[in-house]
Amino acid sequence: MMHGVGSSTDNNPVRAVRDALAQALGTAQQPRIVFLFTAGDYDLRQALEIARQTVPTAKLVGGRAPGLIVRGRSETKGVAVAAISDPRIRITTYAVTGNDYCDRSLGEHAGEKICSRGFSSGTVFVFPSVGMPGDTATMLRALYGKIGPDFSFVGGTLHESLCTEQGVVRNGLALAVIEGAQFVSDIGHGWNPLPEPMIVTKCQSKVILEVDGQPAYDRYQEVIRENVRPGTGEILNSYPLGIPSMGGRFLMRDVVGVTENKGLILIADIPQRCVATVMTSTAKTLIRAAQDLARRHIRSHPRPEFVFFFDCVSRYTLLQTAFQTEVEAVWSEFGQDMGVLGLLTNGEISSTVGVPLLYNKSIALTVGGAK
Amino acid sequence: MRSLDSTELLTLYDITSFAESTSLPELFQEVVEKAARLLGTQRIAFSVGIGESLRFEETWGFHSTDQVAEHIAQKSARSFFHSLEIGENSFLYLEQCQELTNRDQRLYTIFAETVEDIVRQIAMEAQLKHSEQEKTSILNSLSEAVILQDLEGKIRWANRAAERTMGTPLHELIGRYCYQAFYRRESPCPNCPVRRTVTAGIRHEGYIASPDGRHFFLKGHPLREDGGELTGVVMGLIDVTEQRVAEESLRKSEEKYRNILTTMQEGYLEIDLSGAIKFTNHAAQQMLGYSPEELSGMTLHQIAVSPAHVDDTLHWVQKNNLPTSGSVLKIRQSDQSVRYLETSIAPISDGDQRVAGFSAVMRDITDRKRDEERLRYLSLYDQLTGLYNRRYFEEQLVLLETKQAYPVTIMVLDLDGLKLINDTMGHPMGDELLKSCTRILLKCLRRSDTVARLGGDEFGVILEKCDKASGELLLVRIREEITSHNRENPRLPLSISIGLACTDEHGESLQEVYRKADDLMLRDKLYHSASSKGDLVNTLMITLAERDFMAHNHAERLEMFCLRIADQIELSSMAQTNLVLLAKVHDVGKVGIPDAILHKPGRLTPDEWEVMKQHSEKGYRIACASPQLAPIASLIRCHHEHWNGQGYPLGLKGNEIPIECRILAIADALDAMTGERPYRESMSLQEALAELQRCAGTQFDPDLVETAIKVLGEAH
Repeated sequence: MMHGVGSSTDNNPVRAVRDALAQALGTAQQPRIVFLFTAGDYDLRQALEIARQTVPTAKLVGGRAPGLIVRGRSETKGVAVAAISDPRIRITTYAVTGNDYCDRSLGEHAGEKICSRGFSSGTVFVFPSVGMPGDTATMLRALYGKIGPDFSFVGGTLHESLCTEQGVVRNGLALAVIEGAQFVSDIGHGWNPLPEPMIVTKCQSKVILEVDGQPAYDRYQEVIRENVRPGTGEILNSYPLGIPSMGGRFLMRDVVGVTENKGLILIADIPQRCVATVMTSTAKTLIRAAQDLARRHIRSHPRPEFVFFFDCVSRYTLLQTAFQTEVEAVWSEFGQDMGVLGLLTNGEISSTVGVPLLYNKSIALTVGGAK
Repeated sequence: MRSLDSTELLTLYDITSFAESTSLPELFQEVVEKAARLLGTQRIAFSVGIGESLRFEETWGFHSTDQVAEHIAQKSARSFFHSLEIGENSFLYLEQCQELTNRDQRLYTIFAETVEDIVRQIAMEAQLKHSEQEKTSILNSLSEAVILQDLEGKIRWANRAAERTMGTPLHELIGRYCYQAFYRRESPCPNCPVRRTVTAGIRHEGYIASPDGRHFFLKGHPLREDGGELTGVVMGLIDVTEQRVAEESLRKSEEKYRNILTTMQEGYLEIDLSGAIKFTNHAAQQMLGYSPEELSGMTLHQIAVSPAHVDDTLHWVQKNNLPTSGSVLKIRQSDQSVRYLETSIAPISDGDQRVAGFSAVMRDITDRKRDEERLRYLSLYDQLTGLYNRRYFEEQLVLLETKQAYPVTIMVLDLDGLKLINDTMGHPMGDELLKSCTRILLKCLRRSDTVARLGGDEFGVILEKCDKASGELLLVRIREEITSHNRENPRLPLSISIGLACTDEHGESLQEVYRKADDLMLRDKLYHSASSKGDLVNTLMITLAERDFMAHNHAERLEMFCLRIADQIELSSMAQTNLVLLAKVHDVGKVGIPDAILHKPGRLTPDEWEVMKQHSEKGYRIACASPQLAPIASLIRCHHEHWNGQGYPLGLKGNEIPIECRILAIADALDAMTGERPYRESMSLQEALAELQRCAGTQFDPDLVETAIKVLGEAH
């Protein structure tokens, strides 16, 4: 399976796209699919146009990401490209704006599209935008509900603009299905629950109104005060919530704000009456979890050839300078010949437990290679 | 031994804690979320079938329903099937990627049973909702507006009829006060029955009028919780504007008709089927002659002179369900006086169009009835005598020709000299004569005989089953009665001419018989007319002499004076004969002058004098009726003419005045002046002659005065 990865942080966007494409196509001529991501103030539409001109027969999927991780470094601007050129694989891409759909119908619609194109298995690279209507987790369940367990899922939530070879869409969904290659995915985060689980007694979409029958923020602060010595940093980013998931894991949920009536604003929906715990971490636990994940994961594939790497942007903001340490720790687990493309995302998607779930403050990895 | 796994507890808690799903689709999404996140479930099939009201089928992770059935049938070790014991074909199917461990089996069981509990709850709520929808549907199907209010008076719910009635959509009604939403008021309606329901906690009802003129009938039903606490009011509301308008119209109409009933001159009464009086207006009470209290216990039969007539009429109206009009009801009032009421009776129907009673409109026609009877009496009877008149007499003639009453005798009678009596003695005397004749006839005839006054002085008698012999016997009897009457009434004797004719069998017209009798009567009148008139004049003269006692020997003195003058001027013997007769009867006309004037002691008033002056004319007419006096009739009329034309009645003067009259005037004046009068003493002859001299040429003929003075002076 021929593959190539390229990136550029050239201030000239045209040159940056062409440079990144040239790098990727150097080892993956006549690619079947090209993953195209931009960060910073690069124009996705312009980048897409150059890519279509450069690889007119290739499928394209991508979008604007909060940041890129290339060559062992995180970048907040630039262009990153990954190309796969294997005649044995079958590919379809699909992008839709979310204006005409709710979260569930958007997922169902996308699933029906995949089925209608004759795909019965494969790996779905799914890139929702932060502006997608409703709840991303619900969209993912609806997508899965239509296509079933014969597909694996990986991806992450990007900024508003997404693209396929068909063009750019905003506030919707872009995806690519690859059949004929083997992708293995896993996810990790390095967060640990505080020993005082809470019950979400009242919530409304992405806002938790009450916890344990109390205003959510009051109870949240109380748990933190009683269990840790909060530092001077930002509490919300430092103490996300975790909800139980299969196998004793926790599904992380970023707390991104507080409402006037002391509700906690999350980045994704949380089920009412579920158990939630305040999660805590240190730079050490986060970096170690990332490195362990990469190490464990790279071994799970019989013929690993390239890696897609989705790291939560909140880890970047939380770890700050230590984030580079995390990137390097992960990077160090991949071989020199391994093509690696990393993105900073607003949410991470993985079907490690069998069905696609939306995670926050996590690192999702998928390792691809020939079957 | 394993230690307590806190995450296991969290999972256990999470899979049994569902949000309060209100529908199966919501529950299914929760099942998917929890199963995917906590149990690693890859496929789910969920089916619920509870009756017709709650059916749901949904899958997750399957491509088709066939695939679902196939997987369930396989009963794979990776699958969990839980039958929901709440309805037909109800189950929860869960499938994961690995074989189920004991832990998985336990968690799935707990999870499925939790789901089943929730489904049961949703089913109950659905049934409840369905039931509530049914109730709502029932309430919405009502034509009466139903509104639920809280204790404050704010609308909490309203059915569709309320929306229609008020023309306001439900969402605009909710939360508003009913007086704002319905009646456009700023404060509660006065006497609002709904507010009274809130205050008293019991049902109230009443009417409310909105400022725009609409009327509503309201019922307030208290709404209580199980504990009995009042929580609101269910208000029933009907727009009765049209009904109230109709009622008002009806009220006005009833008032109008009540006024009409009260004030109308026609009597109005209502009776039931038995004839019992149920209602009367004032006019009816007056007509029937009873007070309302008395009438309330009476039947129409008790008042009617003929109860059978009432029965027949009511029976006819009830049987035909039609009104009668204008029949005459004869009733007896409480004072036993009889009244005639023109009565129209109409049926009063009940709701099933059956006759339930009667209404009667009555008009008192008693006066008209009596007028009619009087007219009928007048048309058949003679008012003066009370006998039948000519019309009845002639009808009887026609009628008798068809009756088996033969032989029939017809008698025609004519009163002699009636005109003379009327002219001289006045009509009252003539009428008295007619009544005397009537009494005699009625006395002599049978009750079955028809006696009629045919004209002024003519009577007719029809004698049924009376032959000629019997008729003539009857005639004789009548004459005897006349003779007897005349003996008792010499001053006003009765003389009757009678004709009698008879027929024994059919074939001869009774008109013809009547004419025959009439002819015979005329013959009888011719036969004794002259003697009868002469008798009458004699009777009048006797009567005059009896009445004018002051003129005793007046005629003899006049005759003597007149003859002396006549001899002196050598008047012819014929004229002297007339002058002698004139001297005797010249005042015969005074029989017609009332005694009060004739014998008045003082001077006569001008009016009385005018009456007195009529005796010349009366005397003339009496004389004309008498063969003996007829030659001097004109002399009698002119005996008060004056020489100068100032006398009466004709105003003749000079020689236009017959010589007999001029002589009589001097003789009469001389006798009057020398005789005593009630109003002055008598003059001496000299004085009287001087007076004659004074009036010579004015009142008297001067030549004759001179002759008279000469003759009478010499004689004196």
